[in-house]
Amino acid sequence: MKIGVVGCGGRMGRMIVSTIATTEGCEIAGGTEPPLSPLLGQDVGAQAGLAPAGLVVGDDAQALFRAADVVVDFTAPDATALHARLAAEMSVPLVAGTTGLTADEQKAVEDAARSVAIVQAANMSVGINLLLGLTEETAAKFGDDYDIEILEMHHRHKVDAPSGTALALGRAAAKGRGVELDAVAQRVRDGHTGPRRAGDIGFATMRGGDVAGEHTVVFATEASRIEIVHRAISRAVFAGGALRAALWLDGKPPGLYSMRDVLGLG
Amino acid sequence: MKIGIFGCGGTIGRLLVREVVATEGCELSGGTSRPGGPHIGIDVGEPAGLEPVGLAISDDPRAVMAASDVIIDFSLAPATAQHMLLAAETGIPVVLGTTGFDADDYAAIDRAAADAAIVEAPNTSANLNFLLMLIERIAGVLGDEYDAEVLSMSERRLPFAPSGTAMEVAKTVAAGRGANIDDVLEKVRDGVIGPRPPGTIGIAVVRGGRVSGGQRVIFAGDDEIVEVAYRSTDPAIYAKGAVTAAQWVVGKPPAKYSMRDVFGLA
Ligand SMILES: NC(=O)c1ccc[n+]([C@@H]2O[C@H](COP(=O)([O-])OP(=O)(O)OC[C@H]3O[C@@H](n4cnc5c(N)ncnc54)[C@H](OP(=O)(O)O)[C@@H]3O)[C@@H](O)[C@H]2O)c1
Repeated sequence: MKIGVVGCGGRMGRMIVSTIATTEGCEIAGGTEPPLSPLLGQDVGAQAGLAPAGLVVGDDAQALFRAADVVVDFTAPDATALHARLAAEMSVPLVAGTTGLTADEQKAVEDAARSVAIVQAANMSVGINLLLGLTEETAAKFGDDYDIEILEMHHRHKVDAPSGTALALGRAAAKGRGVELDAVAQRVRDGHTGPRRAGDIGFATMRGGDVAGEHTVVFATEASRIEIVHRAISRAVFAGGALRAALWLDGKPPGLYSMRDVLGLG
Repeated sequence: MKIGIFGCGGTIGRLLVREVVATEGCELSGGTSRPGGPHIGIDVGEPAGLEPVGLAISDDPRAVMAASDVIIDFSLAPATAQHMLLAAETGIPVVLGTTGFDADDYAAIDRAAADAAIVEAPNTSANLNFLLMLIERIAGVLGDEYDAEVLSMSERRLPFAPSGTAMEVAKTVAAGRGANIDDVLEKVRDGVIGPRPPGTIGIAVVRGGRVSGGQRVIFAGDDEIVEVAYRSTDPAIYAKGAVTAAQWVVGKPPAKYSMRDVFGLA
């Protein structure tokens, strides 16, 4: 499968290019960067730290879509909206990993997905998406007898808490229970908290060292407890997940798909 | 429903006696213990700390079977072959909670299952069985690019390793990958073992404490790790699950069933 990488010189773009080189069934179709990028004209493989691929970085996304079976996009929100339109026009499926889209940009992606298959996910890691699916399912299966707590740890430089992924896990748990997270989230505990309220979803945050990101979802009831854990090691997980999505898209009918669809988690 | 208990003087046996007596619709029909052992002849309620129930602990499993609709067996592995022969003879269903079987015992179980409904139940906790379902799904999604390791802790008394639960967990990982556990299991590591062979499933065994411990499965990929874990602190949950299984299996056609069948956790 020939994979085009728009934004191939970005941090994720380079990761995608090098993961393509080591993924069975994948072949690089080419890469683009915006006009004026200093990378234009360089070799797509070499700029990612690999052996030359014999393809130069261009700025013509249309030409890239023409040469590719599927395109992977970790760029900027406005560029992603444009790439979604191109994907629809040229009937080439798209894996869209860019985050922070405005409502208009998101609508462009959704419109495009009416005529071409698009996988969109804010987090492409296979493991995190497994966790999201299993958390929702487990929360739906177990009632309020089971207390749900979400524990996360990240490196000392992270400025927000709980992490976006911890909150997404909380939303998945709340969804499984058929409630809104905001109504049940217990984001901090300090001082005389009183007993735990049934149905609450608790968060605990740790910061330190260079931890790439660890999340634990605990389901605790009397006399037993289940935990589901994810530990990120490197950003390459996102590239691995994006390529898994790219391979999965082969032959899929138009539609906007999630990583849960890709992983068959219903 | 009349329930007989094999091994009714043991740690789980006593809890079973209490659970059966406390469960609506269930009636205790007798109990056995080791022939020549200290429990023979005393009231079934006594080891469990109950008022006398008017039944003496027997050393004759055939007689107890004849008086019962279903048997729950939490005795010890050397008794299993005989118990399975009796099940085949009488057609009385058995919830088999005993663990530590050898190949002959497994063969005896399979033979009995031709003529009686047998629930092979190395772990009767509902949560552990829910976890098995998660493990099978995770193993299927991640495949053997993620090295799977089982870390299993049991109480200090358990005289064999790995525990029945640890083996059940490892088998479930293999099943999720479409592999056969006998081909991929790595039970011991000691000395110069060389690099980890791809596709294997390791089991590490930990022992300590008085109550049943926990299981953890680690799926270690190059760039991320997914883990699921289960801990239990009160063996009464095993008795509860075993009685649920007994109620479920009465009236089922002869076959070998699992606790996942009982709980509907396909
Ligand atoms: N399925 C599960 O969820 C689960 C959970 C926990 C344990 N287990 C397993 O269940 C079994 C029992 O565990 P436990 O902790 O209760 O052990 P335990 O305290 O040693 O109890 C075993 C009992 O069986 C009796 N027994 C021995 N031979 C017998 C025979 N031929 N006929 C009838 N009774 C006999 C023993 O009598 P004496 O004391 O006179 O020898 C003892 O009272 C073990 O195999 C254990 O691994 C399974």
